[in-house]
Amino acid sequence: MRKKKILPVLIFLAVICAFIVALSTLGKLSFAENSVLSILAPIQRVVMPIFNIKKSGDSSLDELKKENEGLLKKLKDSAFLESENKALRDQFEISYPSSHTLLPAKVIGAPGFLPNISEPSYLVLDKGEKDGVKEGQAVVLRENLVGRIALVRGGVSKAQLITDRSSFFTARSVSYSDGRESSGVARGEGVFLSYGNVLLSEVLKPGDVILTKGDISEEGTGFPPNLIVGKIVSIDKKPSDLFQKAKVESPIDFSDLDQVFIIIN
Amino acid sequence: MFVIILALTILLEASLTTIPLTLVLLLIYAVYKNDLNVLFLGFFSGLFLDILRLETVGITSLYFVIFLSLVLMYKRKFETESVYYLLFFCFLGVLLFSFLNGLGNPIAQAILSTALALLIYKTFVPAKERILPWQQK
Repeated sequence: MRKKKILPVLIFLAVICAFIVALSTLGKLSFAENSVLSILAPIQRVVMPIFNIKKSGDSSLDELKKENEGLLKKLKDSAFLESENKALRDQFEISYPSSHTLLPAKVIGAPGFLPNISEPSYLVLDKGEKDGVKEGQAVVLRENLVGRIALVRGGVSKAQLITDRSSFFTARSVSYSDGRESSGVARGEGVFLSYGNVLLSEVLKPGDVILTKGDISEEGTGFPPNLIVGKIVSIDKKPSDLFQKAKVESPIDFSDLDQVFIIIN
Repeated sequence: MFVIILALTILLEASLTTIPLTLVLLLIYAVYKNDLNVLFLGFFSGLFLDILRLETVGITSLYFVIFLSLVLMYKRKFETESVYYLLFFCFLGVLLFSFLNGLGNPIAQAILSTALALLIYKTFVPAKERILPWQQK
């Protein structure tokens, strides 16, 4: 095929692409995007479970994972009971986060490098602007932090996972054996998380639980405090460094998620 | 038929995997058919991919159109068997695509995609139709 034929088509399509990119960046394509999404999102919702073959059903492993999650929750709850006003808590029976602030959302897209082998990089959820979803809102599963809403369209939204390399937020570590606490920053490292910026004078140990410190903005978006981020599995502490760092594993299997909850209030 | 498979690939790529399956399929089509229409297919596939993945619309289209144009333009210049030409461009295309999109493990993605391209090409393109570039009219 001659270059003469290809070049005009290439230039023509490249100009159209550049024009579309400009319109999309300015947010002028929302209507077209929403229209296409309203047709394709239901198809995606059907396609997703067909191809998303669940990991071979090792029921004992699943039970252990659930038990582990439950234990983490119990540890956190017991610490609250000790540190906060017991009488007030007993009187009002607060459950956290309160169920009326949660919006259930189905996962309709979770592209991972290799399905069921590596973790997905983000989630596409079937709830969007018309359901009251806003950018920055937290996405949770039970009391575990899943991610943050990064982009919202009419009927769908995109959630950045906490393991994503560009995700970071303030967090704190809590030891339920001796009550130690420290503050730091949790960062996504692809498959796991790191808990860094922790002073060398602080003591971190494997098994310490990492919780969100809370970064709710004036608009009410952001991570509420005390959501479970994960558990420390190893520590990297060098006397020559300014800070120490720990490797954190989330109790959530991000490649296996089919429903999550958005904290909308 | 190819358009249906392409549509399925777009849905798969938007839902399950970061491996650029659509690009692989378009590259195979470009090398096998040497047809200018692949640029239009690339343009529309990119648009749908961007919309479904909630990314800036048009970026993937631009990449597909430019890369597929290069594949078509230089096809006759390389005096090598089609399959090597396909593998070379597939590795290069996926590597660049992964870097530009900030995807994890770009080299692993490129190797996997190249292996996948080879598998699809050898399985679905009949041996007698694998024309050498310098044999094409």
